[in-house]
Amino acid sequence: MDVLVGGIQSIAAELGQAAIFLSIFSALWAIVSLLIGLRVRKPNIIKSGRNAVVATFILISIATGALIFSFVTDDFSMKYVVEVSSAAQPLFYKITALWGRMSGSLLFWLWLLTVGGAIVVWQNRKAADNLADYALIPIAVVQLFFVMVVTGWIEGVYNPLDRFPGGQAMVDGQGMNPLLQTPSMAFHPPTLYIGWISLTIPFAFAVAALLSGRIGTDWIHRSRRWMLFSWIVLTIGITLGGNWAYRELGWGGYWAWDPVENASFMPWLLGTAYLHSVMIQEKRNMLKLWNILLITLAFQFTLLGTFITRSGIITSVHAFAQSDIGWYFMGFIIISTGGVIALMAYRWQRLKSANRLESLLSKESAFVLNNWLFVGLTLIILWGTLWPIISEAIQGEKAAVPESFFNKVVIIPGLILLFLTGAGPIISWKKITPNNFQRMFISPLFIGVVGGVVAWLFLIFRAHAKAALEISAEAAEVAMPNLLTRVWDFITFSGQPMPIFSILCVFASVFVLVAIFSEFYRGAKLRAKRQTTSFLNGLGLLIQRNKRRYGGYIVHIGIVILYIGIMGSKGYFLLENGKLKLGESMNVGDYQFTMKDSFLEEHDNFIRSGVEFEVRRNGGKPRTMRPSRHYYYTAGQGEQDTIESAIQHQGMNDIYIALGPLPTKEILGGKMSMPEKIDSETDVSLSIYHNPLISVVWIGVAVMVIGGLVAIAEKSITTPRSQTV
Amino acid sequence: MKNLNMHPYIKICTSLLVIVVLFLFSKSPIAQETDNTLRVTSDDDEMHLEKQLDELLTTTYCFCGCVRETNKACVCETAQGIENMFRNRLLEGKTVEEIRTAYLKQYGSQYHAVMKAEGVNLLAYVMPAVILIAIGGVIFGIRHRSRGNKVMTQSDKQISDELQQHLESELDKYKNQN
Repeated sequence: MDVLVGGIQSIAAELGQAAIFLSIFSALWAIVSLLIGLRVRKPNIIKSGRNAVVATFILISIATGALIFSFVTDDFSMKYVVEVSSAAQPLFYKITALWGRMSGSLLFWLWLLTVGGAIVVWQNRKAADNLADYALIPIAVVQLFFVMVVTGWIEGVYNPLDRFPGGQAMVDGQGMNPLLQTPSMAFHPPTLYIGWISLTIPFAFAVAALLSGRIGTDWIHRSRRWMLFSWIVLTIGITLGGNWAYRELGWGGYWAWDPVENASFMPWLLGTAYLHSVMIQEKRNMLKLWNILLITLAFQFTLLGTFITRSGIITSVHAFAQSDIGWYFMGFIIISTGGVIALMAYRWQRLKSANRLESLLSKESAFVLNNWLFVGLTLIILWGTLWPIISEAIQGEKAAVPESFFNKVVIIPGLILLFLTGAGPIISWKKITPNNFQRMFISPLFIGVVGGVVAWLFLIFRAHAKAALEISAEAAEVAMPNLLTRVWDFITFSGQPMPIFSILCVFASVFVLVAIFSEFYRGAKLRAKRQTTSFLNGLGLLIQRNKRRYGGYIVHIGIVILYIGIMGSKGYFLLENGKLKLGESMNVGDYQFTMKDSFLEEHDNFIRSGVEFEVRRNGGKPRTMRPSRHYYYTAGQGEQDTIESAIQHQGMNDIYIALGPLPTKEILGGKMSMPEKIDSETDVSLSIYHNPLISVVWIGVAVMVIGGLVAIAEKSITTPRSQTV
Repeated sequence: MKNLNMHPYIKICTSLLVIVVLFLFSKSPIAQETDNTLRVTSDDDEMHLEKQLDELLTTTYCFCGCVRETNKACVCETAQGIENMFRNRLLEGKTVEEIRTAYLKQYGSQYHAVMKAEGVNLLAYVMPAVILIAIGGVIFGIRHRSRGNKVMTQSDKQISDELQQHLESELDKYKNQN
C-alpha cells in the first residue's frame, strides 16, 4: 500500500513540475499570439491566445493540486512539505500549509492569477470588442513573471514541487510555524492574495485601454466589479490580519503600523481613491490620466508589498518569509511601470480631460481632495515604512519608526477624509449653491458640533472623575481656586492634554452620519411617495434602484463606525502588567482579576498550559477567563510556543489577558522544552488590557463589507456581441 | 407657555449650558488636583521607581524578535529579563536616560520606541507635509492643464468608445469580405 501511495506521490510531483514548466510556454504563447492577433486582426490567432490563458490556468491548477496532494498524503520526500508540514499537523493546516512559506505562497498566488485570467476569458466570451483580449496581455505578462519565479530558476526561492535528491525522504516534517496555525491566519493570507490579484484585472483593463486607444469609460465599466471585489476582499483580509495579531501576538492591539500591515494597507488606500475618482471620469469625462495612474500605482503597490515582505530590507512580524526574491519584484515593478508610462506618453493626447473643475466647492473638487488625501496618506505611510532604510543611509544607523509616528502623521489627513465621507455625498456637482449648502449642510454641521460638544463634556467628566480617584483625601482639602481658574481648568482638562482629535472625530462622525442618513431619508421618502408605498419599502426600492450609490453610502457609515472604534480602542485602552501566584488578585479599571487555578491539556500536536481567572466588574457576577500558551511538538521555523490570549467581550469593550513565559522542563536532551503544571509557588507574569470599543472596529468593517456587497450587486454595462454584429 | 416653544437646537444648547454651569459651581475634582505636591506618602519612592520603570519599558522595544512590541507590551521571557535589569539599574541609582542610552548602545538604535522630532528624524516628520503639498501641486498641475487644453479635448471627445468600436467592427467586416 505504501509503495502504491509513494508511486502516486512521485507521479503527482513529476506531473506538477512538468505543468509548471509547460506553463512558461503557454504564458508566452498567450502574450505573443494576442499581440500578433490584435495587431493583424486575425480572430483565430486571438482565440489561440485566449486558449493559452486558459491552458496556463489548467497547468497551474495541476501543479497546485499536486502540491496539496503531497501535503495531504504526507509526502516527506518533498522539501517544501517537510518545511511546513508534519504528520501530526491537522488536515486543515496541512492544506493551509500551501501558503505557509514563500515557495508555496508564490505558487498559490500564481494559481489565483491564472484563475483571474480564466475568468476574464469566460466573462468576455461574448464581448463585442477586443478590449478584454488586450487586457489578457498584461495578465499573461504578470503570470509569466510569477511562473519564472516559481520554477526555482531565480536565486532565493526553490520550486515548491522540488524533491530531495536521490529519492530521499524524511521521516516527518518540521511542521508549520505555530503562529500560522490559527483560523484567522489560515484565511488572512489567501484573502489578501485574492484582493491583490483581483487588482491586477482593473490594471490590465487600464493597460488594455492604453494599448487599444479606447480611453473612454469602457475599461472602467468592464473592470468595476473586479475593483470592488478586490476592495471588499482586501478589507476582509486586512481585518483578518489585525484580528490575528490581536488574538495571537499578545500585545492587545490589532494594528501597529508594521511594514507588512502597511504593505497591505497601501493598495487598499489607492484602490479606494480609484473607486472615487472613476466616478468623475464617468460623470464628467475628467481625470483619465489620473485614473490610469492610480490603478497602476495600486497594482504596483501590491508587488511593492511583496518586495517589502520578502526582501528583508525592513524588519517585520512577517520575518518568516524573507529572501532575496524581493529584488526581482522590484525589477518587475520598475519595468512594468516604465511600460505603462511609455504607453501613457504614446496616448498623451487622448488622455486629456474633456471638462474642467468649475469650482473648488463642488463634488468633483471633493473627490479630487479625497484623492489627494488618499494618495498623500499612501506616500506618507510608504515614507514611514522606508524611513529605517533612509535613516540608515543618512546616519549609518537604522531608526525604528514607532506606532506613535504614524499615528501623529496620519491623524489630520485621516480626519479630513472622515469629514469628506459625509461632505462628498451631499455636495452638488459642478458648483455648490447657497441653497444646496443651506439645505444639505446646515443640519449635519450643527448636529456635528453638538456631538463634538457632548464628546468634549463627556471626556472632561471622565478625565476629572479619573483624577478624583487618584487623589488622596488630604489633597481634597486644598484651598478652592477662584471661579475663573476653575472655568479655565475645566475647559483645558486641568493642564492635561486635551483630546482634541477625539472631539474632532466625534464631530466629523456625527456630521457624516446625519448627512448620510438624511440622504437615505430624503430618497426613501420620495420613493415611497412616488410608489405610494411604505417608507421601508421606499428605502428598499431606493437601494435596489441605485445599489452602487447607496452601497457606497453604507460603506461610509461603516467607515464612521470604524473610526469610532479606532478612537476608543487606540486612545483609551488600559494596560497593566503584573505577576500573580494562584489565589492572588489584581485590578484593572473597574475589573478585579483573581487567578484561581491552572491547567495543562494535551492536544494532537501541542500541549496547552494556562491559568483560570475569575473576573468581577465592580464586585459583580464572576466570569471565567482562561489565557494560555500552546507548546508545539514540531514548530517549523517559528517559536515553539504561542500566546493564546483570553478575550472577553463586555458590550463593545474587551478585557484581554496574555500570559508571559510559563514554567517548562527540558526534554529530548534539552532540544525541546515542554510546560509543567503551574503550582501555588509559581509567579505567573501577565498583561491585562481593557480595550474600549474594540468590537466597534469589527462591526465597522462588517458594515463596510456589506456596503461593498450592495455596490457590487449593480450590474456592469456590457454590450453583447450579437447586438453589434 | 408660548415662551417654551423653542427651536429644538436652542433647547439642546440651553440644556448643555445648564449642565456646564451646574458643573462649574459644584465641588469639582479639579480643585482637588491643584496641588499634587502635598501628597507625600510612604509609598512615594516606590511609585517614583515604577513611573521611571514604566517610562523605560514604554520607550524601548524588546529585542526578542516580537518586532515593534515595547518592553511594556511584550510578554516574552526576554522582556521579563529586560524589566528586571531596568529595575536593578534604577535601584542602583542610575537615571532613566543613562539606562536607556546603555540599552540602545548595546542592542542598537532600532530598539528605541520613541522617535523625537530632532536631528535627522526631523526630516521624517517634515516630509509628510511636503508629500501632501507636492501631491496637491501635481493635482493642481493636472487641473491647470485640463483648463488649457479645453478646445483640443472637445474634438478628441468626438471619438467615443462606441464610435471606435463601430469603426473596428466595420473594418473587420471589410477584411472578412476580402
